[in-house]
Amino acid sequence: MAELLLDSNIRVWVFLPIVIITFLTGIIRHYVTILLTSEKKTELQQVTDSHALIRSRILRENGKYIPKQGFLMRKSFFNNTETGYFKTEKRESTAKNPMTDPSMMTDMLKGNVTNVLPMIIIGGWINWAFSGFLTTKVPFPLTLRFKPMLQRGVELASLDASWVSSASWYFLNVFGLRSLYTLILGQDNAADQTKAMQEQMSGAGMMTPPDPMKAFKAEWEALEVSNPQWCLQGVEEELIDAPIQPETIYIKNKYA
Amino acid sequence: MRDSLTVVQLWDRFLDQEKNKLGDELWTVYEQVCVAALDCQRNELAEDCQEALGSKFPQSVRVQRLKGMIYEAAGRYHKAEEVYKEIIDKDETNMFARKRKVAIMKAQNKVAEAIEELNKYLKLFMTDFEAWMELCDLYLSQQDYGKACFCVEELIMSNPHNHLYHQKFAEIKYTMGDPDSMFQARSYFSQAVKLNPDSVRSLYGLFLSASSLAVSGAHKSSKEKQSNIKYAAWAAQQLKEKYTSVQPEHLTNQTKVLESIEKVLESLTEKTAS
Repeated sequence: MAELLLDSNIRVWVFLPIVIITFLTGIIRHYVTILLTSEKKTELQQVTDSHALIRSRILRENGKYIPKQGFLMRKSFFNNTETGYFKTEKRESTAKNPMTDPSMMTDMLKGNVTNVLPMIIIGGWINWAFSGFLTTKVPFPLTLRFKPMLQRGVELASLDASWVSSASWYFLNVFGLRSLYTLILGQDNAADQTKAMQEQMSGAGMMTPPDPMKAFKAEWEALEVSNPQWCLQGVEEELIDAPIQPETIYIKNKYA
Repeated sequence: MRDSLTVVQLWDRFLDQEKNKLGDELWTVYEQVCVAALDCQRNELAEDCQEALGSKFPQSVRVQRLKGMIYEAAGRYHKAEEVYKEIIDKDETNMFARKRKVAIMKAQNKVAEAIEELNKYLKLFMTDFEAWMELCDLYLSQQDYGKACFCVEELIMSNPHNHLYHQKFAEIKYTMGDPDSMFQARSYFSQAVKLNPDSVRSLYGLFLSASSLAVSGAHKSSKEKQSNIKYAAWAAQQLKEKYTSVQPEHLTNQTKVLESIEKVLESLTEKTAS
């Protein structure tokens, strides 16, 4: 097949503008997200719950280091059938319906405004303004399967799969500029779209905080079955029979 | 590490002139210098820092708490308390303001109230180990050893590899003095030595607790007594090695502590022999 020659105007008016547009959109999105994010208010109750859960977990893990009596005391604080913390503390289920909670609604709206809208608008605009160009060629041969990926908008059966169309070039930029953003805006920037898309894919289950009553129940069960033995029993014997520390062998007397 | 004097000196000497070169770092530096200045009784410097921060972040809770600390340093506790109360009203999860309130009570020497407040705080934030440590010290100042022990147990669980916590626990138990506590003191001193073989303080503790157990006669069998003497002798030997390895011989011979250790050991073995 004869070699194709691209007009150099395509480079100046199609190839570079797409890169610049996608890049600038990312930057703008980053700052708009910063402007729009509302500070997450944590509730005292939630903090207290998480502290209690952490303490109970630490107790299960390291309870063997304190005297048995101390362990039992704490265990009964959490697990006593009548007065135990996990038994008496009643929490309302916080699994709110996002439709009834206005703050959640605005959060969702903000997410959509910053992520989905620009994607549609810019993508549509690029498709409309720059459609039908071949912009560049990847420097290695590719199989026919890559054609729908790299040649969106240019349906030519006989064209070599290495050629990249303008619409595909836009998508390559959208997903490929991540490292550049990290370089300029630092870690955890909001410019990258792929992350936002992943979040949407992984479902809304992440948005609702876990039910504390369930967590309490699980922790109660775990603590109920844990019964560590005091691990300092016989530590003296162990200490005395311990292998001799190297420094006591070699540096017997610094001044000798 | 909290080296306030150095921080303030560095500020006086270099940073004050080079403010503009710091960029966004300047604000964190301001905050740290402010606290350091309060430590060094340089209240004016602290106020300057706080004002600079306040004009940049007028809504910030962190700046507000600095203001509270400045009031505290000036001894205007009532005013400081108002500031902290305001912070808590605004953000009830603010641990810092709550802890400062305890500090105010402690500064006014109202230990009982401070303990009560700190207990309330710990009911809400159970895993704040700094607070447990503070509560332990407060109880110790009231000579409430049982409760202090409870606090140290909490600390030990937070980090079972820290020999200082074990040592502290053992010391409190040793101070309580009854045979059971003494037994626990011996175990925890041993654990501290095991975790840090260079801890002379724990070695002394092990020696003292083991020998006092050997003397007290609270043990069930003579075998137990023998092993207590064995532990004491081991600790004494370790101590001696520590002394000989860090100082020349003629000084070691003069070290009175070693002599008295030897004497205690001798009397122990004599008693068992007779």
